This record gives sequence, structure tokens and C-alpha cells, in this order.
Amino acid sequence: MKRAAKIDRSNYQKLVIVGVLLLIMAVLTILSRDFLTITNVTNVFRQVSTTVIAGSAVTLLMISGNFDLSIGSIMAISGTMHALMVVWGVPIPLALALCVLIGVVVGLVNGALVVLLDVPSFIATLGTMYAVRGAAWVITGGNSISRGLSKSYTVLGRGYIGPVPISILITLVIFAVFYFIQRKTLLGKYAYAIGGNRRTALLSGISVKKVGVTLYVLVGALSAFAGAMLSSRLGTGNASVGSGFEFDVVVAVILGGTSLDGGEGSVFGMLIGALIVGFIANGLNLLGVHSFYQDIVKGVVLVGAVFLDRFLKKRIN
Amino acid sequence: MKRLLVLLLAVAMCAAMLGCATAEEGKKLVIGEVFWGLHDSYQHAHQVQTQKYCDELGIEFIPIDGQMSAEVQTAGMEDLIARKVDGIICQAYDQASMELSIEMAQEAGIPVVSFVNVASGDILYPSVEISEEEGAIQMGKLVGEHFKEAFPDTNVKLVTISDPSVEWAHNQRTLAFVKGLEEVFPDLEYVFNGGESNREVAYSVTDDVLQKDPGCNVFFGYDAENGMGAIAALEAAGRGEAEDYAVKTEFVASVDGSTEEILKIMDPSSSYVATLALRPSVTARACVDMMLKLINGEMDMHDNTQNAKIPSYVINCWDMSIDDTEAFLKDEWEMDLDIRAELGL
Repeated sequence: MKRAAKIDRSNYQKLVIVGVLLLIMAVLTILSRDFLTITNVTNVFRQVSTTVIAGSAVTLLMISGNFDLSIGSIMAISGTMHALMVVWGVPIPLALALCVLIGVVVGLVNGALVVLLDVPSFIATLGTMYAVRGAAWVITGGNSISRGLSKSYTVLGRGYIGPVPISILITLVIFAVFYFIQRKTLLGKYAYAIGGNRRTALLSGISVKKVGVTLYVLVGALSAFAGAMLSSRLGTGNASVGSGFEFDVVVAVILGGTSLDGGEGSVFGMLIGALIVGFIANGLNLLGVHSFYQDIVKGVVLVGAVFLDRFLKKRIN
Repeated sequence: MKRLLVLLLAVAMCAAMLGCATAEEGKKLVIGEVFWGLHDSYQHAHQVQTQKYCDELGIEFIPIDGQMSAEVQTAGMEDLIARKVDGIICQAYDQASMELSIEMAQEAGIPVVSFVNVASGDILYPSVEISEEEGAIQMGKLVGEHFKEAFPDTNVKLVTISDPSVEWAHNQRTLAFVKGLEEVFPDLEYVFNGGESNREVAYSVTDDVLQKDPGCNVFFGYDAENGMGAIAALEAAGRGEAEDYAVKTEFVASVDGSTEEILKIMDPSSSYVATLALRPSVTARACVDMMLKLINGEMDMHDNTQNAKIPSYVINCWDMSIDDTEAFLKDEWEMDLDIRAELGL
């Protein structure tokens, strides 16, 4: 009975955010004749691809009750290193793999600090956020790395397979994998269990530390991959890339119904949350709304969507 | 509850269909512009002037804030291409990534005018340039000469608040200013360079530099934010003062020509002495005019041989009167500013 109620609640939550997304799309379609076109919708999917890639892992991490502020900085160091290695002559696939490895290392450091040394996740990842961003600036010396990058460098971020951008295909694959992990694997179930009640999870024999470190490593790896992909899309390695990215991801994850306290949320919700943010930004650009007003609209939608979610949850409960 | 959700979805779908059916065909010429960052006072004035000029010409203008971010600018360019605008004006934060977007726009048949940046490689496009380098050298020289006059036995100890990662600004403004200053003080002591395009950061940097070496006596900010941050920190430290335009301890100069800078320069009790004034009205109009040439087929979208150059010039407290400055503000920034009233003179 309880399980049925829980499923019901979770489905309602998803229906609500899908409804909000459709409503926003409908309004923007009315206001701009260029909004609902294949080119534009493809653009938005491409623009949110990095958010969805990193967000897939961040959602699981936040479900487990932890947090990572260093993802934007990991993107920056990975993007600059990707460009730099390709300039040095490292083959692109190998450079990509090495970048992911950099992300894994930062993820391990985060995991060790938070899980093994019990440093609060906010503080630990704030520290790595600064340190890793600083390292990216040191590596680039403040310059963009674009000279010596061939046209093939941009294939990952700008290329197509048939009519579909490669970045979107990759994003969908990663999303599908994490959707599967969340719903069908022990890692996903353990993340909910730890986020729901850490002590109970521990007493149930779940290796809380192992799961925690694994999730941080996954976040690091995916953020690094997203950084390399963004660098390819921009055709340059720049240490300033990804500033504020952590908040874009957190907004998408929270909009998608993940609780800041952990134990609740879904990768699917994060995808819809990312699309809500992406479509709003895109639609307001198409309408020529000044960026100052755009920030107000984004803030109102964020609070409004969460408020609606809470309101409906209360009614259901 | 189910009813509410079904209703929400139904409204959304109906509205979407209605939107598809009723979207009107627009006939107005549409020009989009991706700005470097609209938080900046010059950028904001440029946007206002472009909007005004487009209104005069009956053109729809879509401004997009680049927010000093390569990824935001790329997304903005993609949005304008999807919007199928008739032309795009842009100022790159990161030139390499912007050139990829320019190529994408050109492939979609949309001409692009670049503001400030000129084509650097295979992707060709016309530009409206600002001739800042000469003006910055001239300003450096002018500051040097007046410094020598004010402090005949003192060497210059220079601090520049400038972000080298923004290469065009650092080279054309900061390094050019240093070059001009070196013409008068070949052995000047270059104490520090750092900061971003951010007033708070500039304030902190100046604070720290004063701790390190209180003898610093020339401060240069490569934009209004950096200049104003520096003077705020100097004032907080009990410095930044002049008496009837005679500087007491240090000279402060910057680039942009914003109202705040100009008010400081015209203030006889401030040591803010000069700014390299950009000209938002002339520049905005030049960008739109070039775009219209491209749209009307008078210029090829890949032609980078007919770039327009907009000279900027030095506003300073020595050669310009308050009346001269007010006239400049009126002409360029569309601003009725009573400087005497603002300063309580």
C-alpha cells in the first residue's frame, strides 16, 4: 500500500514538471514563431547537454545526501587540458580519456575528503572548486588555447551523425545509463537508502563509504567529459569556462524534484529540469528580453516550480 | 488532483497548437547583437544607442547579453541563427569560439559584423574596430608628462588593473598605455598587474598593492569597472585626492569614458585624471550601417578589407573644460548631465 502511494507520488511529481515544461513551451511557441522549430529545439538540447551529462551523476550524488560544488572547475581544467593535449599532438580519443581520468582523480579527492575524512561536502568541494579552477588558470596562463587545434577537434561538440548532433546522442546514452543505474542497480538503490537515512543504511550492511566515493568519482568523470565536450563545441580551451555551471546543474536537479536533504529525486526529473531552464533562456533570447529581466524570470520560475511541486505533494500526502 | 494535472497538460497542448496556428509572419528587418557583457557601462550605452538607431530605422533589434562567457555567447549566436535574423552583430569574449559561431551563421546565410575583433584566420567577416591603441599610447604619454610636471624628482611606480586573458583589451589598452608612459619614463617601475573586469576585485587588488607598496603612484584600469574600483580603494585609504586638479599622491586613469569616470575626472578634488573615451553612439551606428550594407548586398559578408575604424580619444582634466565634456556626453552617450550640479561646484 505504502509502495503504491510512493509510486503514485513520484509519478505525480514527474507529471507536474513535465506539465510545467509543456506549459513553458506552449507560451513561448505562442510568443515566438521561431521557437518550436527543429533547429531551435536541437539547439536547446545541445545547449543543455553538458548540464544533463554532469547532472546525471550529480542527481545520484544529491539523492545520497551529498553535494559537489567543484563540477564547473572540473569542466574548466578538463576543457583546457583537452585542448592543450590535442595541441601537443595527443590523439583526440586518448586526450578525452586522459581528461576523464583527471575528473576521476578530482572525484577521488572529493570523495576522500567528504566520505573518509568527514569534511562537510559543501566545504570540501568549495575548496576543490577554487583549487582546480586556479590550476586551470595556471595551466593556460590566462590565455585561450585555440591555435593548433584542427577542425576535427570540434567534431565531438559540433559534429552530426545524420541529422542528429553527436553531443545530443552522447547525452542521451549517458542519461539512459544513469536512468538504468538509478532504477535497476544496487548503486542507485543504495544512494536512496543512504540519502533517506544514513545510519539505517549503514546498519543494513551498505558500504556507505564505498558508495559515497563511487558517486563522487562518477561526478568527476562526467563533469570532465562534459568539459572536454564543451571545449570541443567552443573550439577553444579556456579556464573561465564553466563558471557558475555548478548552479545550473543544481537548479536543474532541484527543479527535477531532488531534495536537498537527499533520499528523493530522479535522473528523469533532472532532464526535465534542465530542459525547463534551457527553454526559458532560449525563448527569452528569441523574444529579445534583456538579460537583466531574464534573471528575474528564471528566479520566479524556479521558485514557482518548486512551490507547485511542494503544494501538490502536500495535497497527495 | 488528477483533474488538475490533466487540465495543465491540456492547456499546454492547446496553447502549443494555437501558437503554431497563429504565429504571424513578420516582415520587419531583424538584427540581433551578442554583447560582450551588458553589466559594463559602455556595453550598456552601446546597446541603448543601437536600440535607438534601430528604432529610428524601423528595424527590430534583439540584444543578447554575452555575460563575459564563451558558452553563453555561443548559445546566444545559436539562438539568433535559429531565429533566422537578417544579420548579427557580435563582440567576442573568446575569439576562437566566436569565429566558429560566425561560420555557422554565414553557412545559414546570415551576415555577421564583428565589433572590435578582426578576422584572425580562415573565417572571414567584416569588423567595426575601435582604434584604441593610439589613444591609449597618447593617454599614457599625457599622464607621464603631467606626472613629471607634478613630481619632477619621482619615478613612476605603475599598477595596472587588467586581465591579460582578455587579450585585445590588455594589449590595446593596458600595454599601449604603458608604452606611452614609457616614452616619458623609460625606467618606470612596473609594480603589479592583475584583476578582472570587476569593481570589487579591482578594489581588493588596489588595497593589496597599497599594502605591498604604498609608493605606487600611477594606477591604470583597463575599463571603467577597474578604474572606479581602484579610485574607491585609494579614497578609502585617504588618498586619491587633488587640489584644483593638482594631484597630491597618485594619478588614476582608465578606459571607457563612462559617466562615473568623467565625473571623477572633472572633480577638481580627485586624482582621477583621464579616461580613453569610447564613443557608443558613433560605434553603434557604424555597426548597424555596416550590417545594412551587408544585407543590401553592397558588401560581401566575407569581406574583411573594408573594416570601419572608430577613433576614441582622451578625456582629461587638463585640456578639457566641463562644458566640452558635457557636449561630448550629449553627443555620444545621449546624456544631459549637469556636471557642476552633480559635483556641487
